[in-house]
Amino acid sequence: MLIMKKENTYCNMKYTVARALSFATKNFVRNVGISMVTVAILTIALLSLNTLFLLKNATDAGLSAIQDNVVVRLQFSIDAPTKKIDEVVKMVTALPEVEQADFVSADEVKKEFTVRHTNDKDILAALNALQSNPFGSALKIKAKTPEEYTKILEKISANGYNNLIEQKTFGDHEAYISKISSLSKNITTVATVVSILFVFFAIFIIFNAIRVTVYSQREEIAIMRLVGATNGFIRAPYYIESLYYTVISIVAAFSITYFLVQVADPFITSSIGAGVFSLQAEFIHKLPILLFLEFLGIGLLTIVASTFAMRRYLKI
Amino acid sequence: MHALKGLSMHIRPGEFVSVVGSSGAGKSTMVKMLIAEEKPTTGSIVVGGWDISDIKPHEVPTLRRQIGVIFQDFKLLPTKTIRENVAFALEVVGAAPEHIKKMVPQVLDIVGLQDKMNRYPHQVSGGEQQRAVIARALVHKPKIIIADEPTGNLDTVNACDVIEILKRVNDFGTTVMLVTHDKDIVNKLHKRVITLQEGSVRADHEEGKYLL
Repeated sequence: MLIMKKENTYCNMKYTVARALSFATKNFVRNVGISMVTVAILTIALLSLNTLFLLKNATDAGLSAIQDNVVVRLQFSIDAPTKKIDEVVKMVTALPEVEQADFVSADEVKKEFTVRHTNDKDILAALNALQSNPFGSALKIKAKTPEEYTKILEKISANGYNNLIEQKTFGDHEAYISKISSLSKNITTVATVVSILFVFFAIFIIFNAIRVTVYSQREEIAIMRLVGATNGFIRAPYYIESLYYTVISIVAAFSITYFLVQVADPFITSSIGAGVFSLQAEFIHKLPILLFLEFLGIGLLTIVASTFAMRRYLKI
Repeated sequence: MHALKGLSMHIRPGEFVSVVGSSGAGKSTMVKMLIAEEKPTTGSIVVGGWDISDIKPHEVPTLRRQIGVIFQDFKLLPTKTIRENVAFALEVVGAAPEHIKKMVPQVLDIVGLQDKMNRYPHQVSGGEQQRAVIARALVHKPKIIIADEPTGNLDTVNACDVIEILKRVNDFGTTVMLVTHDKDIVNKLHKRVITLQEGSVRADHEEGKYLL
């Protein structure tokens, strides 16, 4: 009579997996209260991550839309010599930072002014009372990136053309962009901190849920050990249970996010500009990678939490 | 302080051995070592030719599937029927459903519980619960049965029934180690008796008697 080191006559992986799944499902249902709280907390954590992602995308798109519309306008003084203005136009057009430079004649400037003040009869009457065009010509400059506007203006100044220019309109845009960037950064920071807090909270809840399950099944576990169940088989249902938490909360979080995106999309689109950005399209476009990353991240964290819960309370 | 010290014994295949001793003699520690729940600090334990003194954790389940263990506290799951309790031992090691269907009634028949297999533990007597535990231990067709105080919580009639079942199991060729301090049972068995005292063997007699 020999005791065999490798006797494993009826161990079948197919049945082992099926039973581990069945045990995990029973655990989930048996502790349904704890399971639901765990799923709810994990869903909130995922919702905050999704919000962070969407917020980042929406503010980036908004900033980008604003930056695309930023144009520096150099308003030449009325007495600036045409030759000198031509020099400025040539110099600016040749700058590597400039994407486009459009010269606006004095007549066109006046016309733009008239269009802008169509409803202001007093201003138009005052303009018409003047014998000559009170406006000088202008130059609209679009830089390749918003950061390059300062450089362009510095170069104009360095070439001694400042005395030709009556007004530069960049200052307002710069302050506007800076404010939005700062707001966006602050929102992102707060959302990141909140998300991290929720994720840690969720991990703690999962740790606790698995710990309670293990404790409530200590007799079952003792019997499993006694009759020769492998450590892997004893642990598997708890890992599967944490996987259930992950999958259910991801489905719930993405369903809620999709619904909220549908509600918010028209408002965001109208704010940023139709055809420029759609939150819904962005969400659908990034959905596969977002799902993958969150499943991987939360899945790994739940596995780590479960391992710690088992290591501490399931001494096999 | 050692629970066991200088303990040396050899149990032959197919034997029925009673291990007796007062509380603290080291009986339970010896059982725990035989099922690799504890390891000796020195010395060796060879079970069926396998030196388990330094057994690897992943090898423990393989060992336990070949040793049936019966404890004084029945350790039946209250939410499962007798049949489900016995089947559970096979389910957790990945046995096929057909194998479980075949084996469970067989072992329940051996212990005389076939007509009560669908009852829950609280619906049967203490003796029947212990017989169900024996059935669970037998379901793996173990080569060795270790019964640690199996009659401790039973009246005389039920205790005798349990011992009769163990004798029957031994008749099939399974080695049986009965750890007990029930003098009457040991004396009626007329089998080998190993007496432990303070962690070592005080006496070892074929067809022995309870000495303490």
